[in-house]
Amino acid sequence: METECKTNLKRFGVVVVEDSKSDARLIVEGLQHDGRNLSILLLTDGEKASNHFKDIEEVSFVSRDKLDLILLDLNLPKKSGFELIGEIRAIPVLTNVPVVVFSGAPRADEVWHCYDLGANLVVRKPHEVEPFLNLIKAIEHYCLDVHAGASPA
Amino acid sequence: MDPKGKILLVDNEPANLVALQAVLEDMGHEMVLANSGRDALRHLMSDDFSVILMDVQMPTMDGFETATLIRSRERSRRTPIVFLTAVGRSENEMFRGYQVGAVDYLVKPFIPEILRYKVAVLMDLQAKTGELKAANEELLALNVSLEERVRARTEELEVQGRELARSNEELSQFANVASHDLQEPLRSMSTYLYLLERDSGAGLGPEARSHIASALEAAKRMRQLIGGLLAFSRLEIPGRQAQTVDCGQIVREVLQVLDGVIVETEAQVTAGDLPTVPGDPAMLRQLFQNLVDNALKFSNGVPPRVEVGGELRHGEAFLWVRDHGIGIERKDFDKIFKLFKRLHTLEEYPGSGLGLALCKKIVERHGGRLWLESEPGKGSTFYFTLPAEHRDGDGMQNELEAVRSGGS
Repeated sequence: METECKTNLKRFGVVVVEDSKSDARLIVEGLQHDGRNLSILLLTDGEKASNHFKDIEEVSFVSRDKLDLILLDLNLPKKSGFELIGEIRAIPVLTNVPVVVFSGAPRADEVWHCYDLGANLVVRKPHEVEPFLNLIKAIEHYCLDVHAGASPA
Repeated sequence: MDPKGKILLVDNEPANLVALQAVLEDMGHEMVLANSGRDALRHLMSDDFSVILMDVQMPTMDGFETATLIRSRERSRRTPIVFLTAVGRSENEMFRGYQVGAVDYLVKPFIPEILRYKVAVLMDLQAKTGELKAANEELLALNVSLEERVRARTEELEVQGRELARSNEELSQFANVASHDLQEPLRSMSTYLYLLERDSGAGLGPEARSHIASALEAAKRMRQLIGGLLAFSRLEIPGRQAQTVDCGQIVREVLQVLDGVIVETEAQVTAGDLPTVPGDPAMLRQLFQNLVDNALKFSNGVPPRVEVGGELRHGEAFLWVRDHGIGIERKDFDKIFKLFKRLHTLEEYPGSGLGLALCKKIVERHGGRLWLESEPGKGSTFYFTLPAEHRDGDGMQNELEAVRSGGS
């Protein structure tokens, strides 16, 4: 799924790795909420995500859309979120891209393991729709606007 | 006790043996004769005696030598030996006799009564020693079996404790996973309902939109039920170390949380001085909150009057929450503590049907009891007790202690 919003000049690249259709839908809803010019790529399993990140590594010399944010579900089919965090951090052009991990009910040790591997934020998925949307909006706002490493619009 | 013991008579002079035998005959003991030290040792190899009467002066192996050998064998180490010796022997010799283990020393020619008396005393002593020894052995055996039983029971309890810990761990994981896995499809339902309403709501009739609202409401309620069930199952898991909890402080916090309802219903809530108890503050807050919340909720349509009280009674905290609301019929007393059991429709009185089940569980987790008095139309009082003293260690340890003190 590739979505583009053309209201703003600056274009942000976001990768969402999520196997639950409805959660993915909510995440995209939340991201698109403020009409920012986003290029959102949705990947529905760990293997697809892994291949995509490897592609980025290979073509990184040919300038492509910059990646500004990675949203990752922890429990994914084929390849786990843990493995993906490690792979992302091992790819030079992705070293500094903010990685936010979502999980239904992570155990404390899983949370700390994510941080050890290089995640920037690990959050529990809110059970209700509105809080979920608000969380996505807040993360988007923090990573793309507030975060000092974010590229200015 | 067998009064008929065996006596070993040792003398190299057959005439002396006959004389001794004659003196002791009518005491009724079995007598074994030995005509040398070697002969005596041979008898001692195969037999036990209550008393040994032995001449000191014997050829080849005298009485002292024989006594030394008798004493060196475990089987005859404690058999009393009485030396018989001729007149005119030195005190030195007597002393040596005691050194090698004689218990007495008789000078020949001896007076029959004295000999009989001494033998009787020694036989009696030996018999009593035997009895004591037997009793001791019995006691020792009992002790061993008791220790064995305590050890076995302790081991059993430890195994049970480990199994309990493991099943609690599994339960905790199960509850977490179940909650997560149940919430996910629920969120999915809510998401699509939300999108349906947002994207197509304007084109739908009022009835269809009300259906969406009802479905969303049901999903929300389901979410609360899962949350409640999770909270309930967490109570099965052993808690943290008990803290000192001021029930008065807890109630003040609870009244703050419920302030909105209190103001809205114009309720009058009074709380007396409440005891301090060891416990889990979060659980006790939940307990008071559920009880006060119920007391406010089940009012008769008039501003509720709720009273929270407590005191120390017989070493335990005795607490109550009283209302003047709708009351409960006696036949429903048990029902209200059942999981998800409700006496009223959601429209009449909203709620999950978990509150009182949680309360009961919390009180029981603290080692207390929860019960009620109620009259329909007059109101209800929920009473509960909480142990006022810190218990040492965990429940497992207590159980072990109980077994130890109960078993000895």
